[in-house]
Order: sequence, then C-alpha cells, then structure tokens
Amino acid sequence: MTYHRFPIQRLPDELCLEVLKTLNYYEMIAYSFVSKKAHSMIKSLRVETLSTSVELKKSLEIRWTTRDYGSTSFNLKSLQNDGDSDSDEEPETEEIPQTNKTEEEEINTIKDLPGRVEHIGIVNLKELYIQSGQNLNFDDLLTLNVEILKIDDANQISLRDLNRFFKLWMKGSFPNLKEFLITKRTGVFPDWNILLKGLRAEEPDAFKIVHTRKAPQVQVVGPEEEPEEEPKEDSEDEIEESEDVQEEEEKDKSDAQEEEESDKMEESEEVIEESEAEPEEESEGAQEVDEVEEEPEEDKMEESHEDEQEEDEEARGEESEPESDSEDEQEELEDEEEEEDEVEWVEQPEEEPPGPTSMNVKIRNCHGVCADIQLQYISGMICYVRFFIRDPNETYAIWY
Amino acid sequence: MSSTEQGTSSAAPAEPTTAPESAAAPEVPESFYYVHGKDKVVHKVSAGALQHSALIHGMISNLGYTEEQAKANPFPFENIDGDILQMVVDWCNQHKGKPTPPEDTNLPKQKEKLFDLVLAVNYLEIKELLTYCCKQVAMMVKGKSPEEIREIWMIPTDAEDEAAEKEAKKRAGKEAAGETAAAAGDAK
Repeated sequence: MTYHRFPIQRLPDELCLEVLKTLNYYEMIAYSFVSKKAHSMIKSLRVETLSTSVELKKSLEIRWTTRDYGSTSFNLKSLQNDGDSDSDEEPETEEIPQTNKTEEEEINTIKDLPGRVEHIGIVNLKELYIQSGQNLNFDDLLTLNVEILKIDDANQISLRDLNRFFKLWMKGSFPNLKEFLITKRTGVFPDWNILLKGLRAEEPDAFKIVHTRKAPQVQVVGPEEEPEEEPKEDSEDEIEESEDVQEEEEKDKSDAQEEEESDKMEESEEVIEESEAEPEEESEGAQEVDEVEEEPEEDKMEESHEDEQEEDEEARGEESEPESDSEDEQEELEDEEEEEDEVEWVEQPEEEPPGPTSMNVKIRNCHGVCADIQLQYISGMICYVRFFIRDPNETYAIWY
Repeated sequence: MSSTEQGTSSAAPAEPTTAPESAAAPEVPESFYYVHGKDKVVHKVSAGALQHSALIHGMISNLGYTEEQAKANPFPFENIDGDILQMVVDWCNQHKGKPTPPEDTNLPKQKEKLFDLVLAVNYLEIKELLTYCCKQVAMMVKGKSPEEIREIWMIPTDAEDEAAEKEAKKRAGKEAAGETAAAAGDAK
C-alpha cells in the first residue's frame, strides 16, 4: 500500500516537535521505535507519566498511563524488523511497573528488550516482576540488577540456591537490591535450615540492634550474637567458638527470659554498656519498623493467621530454647553452622501440622547493611521468602 | 488572484464606518495589502485577513504603508510557492475576524503540498493554521506501525542516520581545511 509521504525530519526541529506534540500517545510510542533520533525526540517532549508496564507474553505489550489521558496500550507484535519481538521459547511474563523513573527511560528499556530474562534484568531497572519464573534458574538470578525483584513460581531455584544468593549478597554482591520477594510451590514443608545455613542470621525480636551515628555499621547488642564484624561466610572454627559463647549466653538469657520484660531490661543495660545512649522505646520502635517493612502486599487473612502464629511461636521458642538446642546439636551435624534459634523454628512446625508459618531473621552484608528476611509457608504449599534491605539512613531518621 | 480579490471585496464593505483596527494598521480598516510569492503573482488581501499572520501584521505596523504604497510594493515572499501562498491567503480570508473552529474543514486537501504549506505557514507565523497543519501531519500516521510510520514520514534508519552524520563530519572537516588553506594563502 502506498502512502502520501511527508519528510517530517526535514522540518525545522521546533516544527517537528510541534507535530509530535499533536500525536496520540499510541503513535508516540510507535514513533519512538522508528529510530534513535525519533526516540530522543519523543523523550524531549517530556510527557508526564504515571506508570508504564511491559508485559511479555506471546506478544509484547506496553501499557502507558499518562497524567492526562489515562492508559494507552501498545502491542509490539509488528517489531520483527527491530529484532525485539519475543519468541515462543520465552514464556515468561515480565511486568515492570514504573515508580520513579521517567517514561523516557522506560521506553528506552523497552527498546532494549531482547528475548532473555537476564538481558532484561541487567539494564538496571527499578523494579522487575517475573510472574512465571518456572524457567528461571540460579544463574539467571545472579545476573539481575534491579532494585526491587519479585519472582513468582520460582520452582527451579532451590532453597540451597537462595542460601547461596544470600551469602553472595552478604559478601557485597547485588549492591542495588533493596527488596527481593520470591515465591515457590513446594510439596513439603521447607527446611529453613537449608536456606539459613551459614548465614549467621539473627531472629530480630530476640535481639537489639543499635545503629551508631558515626559508623554506618550495625552493631548487634544481644546475648547470643557477636557483633557482626565478620559478615562473610564464616569459617567453622569461628562459628564453633562463637557458638560456645552463645550457648553460655543463651542459658543466661533463657533464665532471664523467664521473667517478663527481662529482654528489654537486658537490652537497655547492654545498650548502656555499649555507650550508645538509647532509650527503651527504641527497641519497640525498631520492632515496629520491622513489622511495617515485612507486612505489605500480603493477604490480610494470611497476615492475621501468621501474626498470631508468629507470636505463639516466639513465646514458645523463648521458653524451650535451651532444650531444643541441645537435642538438635546431637542429632544434626549441620547445626554447628546454624543458629540455635533457627533450629528451633524448624522444629516448631513438626509439632503441629504444617499450616501458615513464618519466621523472621536478619542478616547483614559486609558493608553493614541490614536485611530482614521473612520466611513464610502457607498451607497452600506456597513458600515465600521476602528479603528487605533496611536503609541505614532511614533507620536513623526513625530512631533519632 | 482574481478569486482572492473577489472574496475580499465581498467581505470588505461590511466595515467601512467602524475603525476597530486602526491601531493595528495605520490605514482605514477596509484597506488592502498585496503579497506575492515565488511566481510573482500578486494577491490582494484585506488587513483583517492578514491579522492571522504575525509576520505580515508586524511588517504593516512597522512600515506604516499607505494603500498606494502597499499597492506599489507588494510584500515579497520569494521562498513561498505561488499556489501555497494562494492557499494561505484563501484560508486567511475565510477566517477573517473569527476564531478557528477546532475541526477546520477548509484546509487544503492536497497532501502532497502539506510540507510546503507547513513551512510557509510557519514562516508567516499563522499560529492557528500551523496548529491545524500539524494535526493533519499527525493524522497521517494514525494507527500505523513503526515501519509504516518510517515509510510515511520518510524517516531514515539508524544506520542511515549514522552514515549521514559521518558524511556531514567529513564535509565539515574538508571545509575547515579549505578555509584554513585559503586563509594561509591570503596571509602570504
């Protein structure tokens, strides 16, 4: 079919922009794919964008919501010539909700979309949501460079893989990662020990975390845990030594925990010992922060169940701590590398049939950045692992 | 030309007594001006119609032509084709003294001439007509795919853009070299 031609790029730039301004948003998107120059011209229009998402199914679809016109959908099926079209061998669906980035950056991202997931992830996205991650393997996970990563149905990624992932994060990999949510379906109740092995994770409610003003590093003030100057994957000798200390300390602690509110008292005393002036209220404040960070995006029903269960488990866990620890150490070799709290958490569901359970632990990387891991198992055989990185500056703002 | 004159003369007798535009044009309101394009064909346009063009309006205000002077010295627009100027003049006459409706059906239908029309309208600074022309251009690609847009708007591919850029750089380099050589020759 022949069209009337109009050499738009021979117009003066300002005239060309005048024409582009009168385009509908659908045509704007289409025009931005024509060439790099065309793309930069659309960028220069600076259309205010509320959100942009890209959905990659059998065809690639862009949804662009602007401030004035509502939503515009654009199907990229016709992009065969640019080599950007998806193929049948790529069943993943990626949704990239736009939060802070501008529409221009997002469109650039879309232009760079090739077929493979890792190529999508390495372009430093703000947020990447992979709805069907069945084909996603551990290597793919390592290549993703995003701030917020959500993966559903990540069945190929085992808990051991995730353990490796967390260890890499602790060593300083994935500096951009702020939030990580992964869900998978599992037929059996997951053994959290596999996930937490060697992570030196702490149970947040049993510990007091003190941030120093000057140093960005986080210090843990608690009876069980050494200050995490050694966030790397631990050598066994160190762990054994530290565990010996921890056992003694835990006994003391368990005695103290029999009294109500003893935990807080300990913390406050130790805080003073650490020469960090910190009122008791701060511990509550810290827990509140944890809860706020860990709770969003969950079904309310699930949350309520989990919260109740969490509280129960915590209460029971504190009471039965020393006994369960000693039993576990005799039975399992791997316990040498694990924190006693974690062992206890695994035992808990064995006593009761697997229902909605959850546990929270903290890890921190070599830069002192603290992350909350929330592990959940819902009776629908869905296993969630949430991984929030706490911004030290933000925490300062809350605490001081 | 004749059609333009007819159109304007029929509209002109309506406003002989009131002089609302005396500040804008030094002559009486029904005064006429003359323009010609590349083909030297002179078009007679009323002052009211020329209000649309910021360029011509400014020229009239600054030069302070009398009608005789205006007739003797038509405004020359050598860079505008005669038929394009005719279209513009027609449009101005049709929209004399009234706001442009959002859907203007009086725009020339010849799409081949749209490019020249846009340039002419831009040059003459007729804002309302320019807006409408831009809309017309945008409508050419309505619902089209990127490849179709490339074809309709004659957009070069990235490779062609790069090649053109390289050529332009080479040419600029050669010109610069030529200039320096010429300057050196002059100095000697």
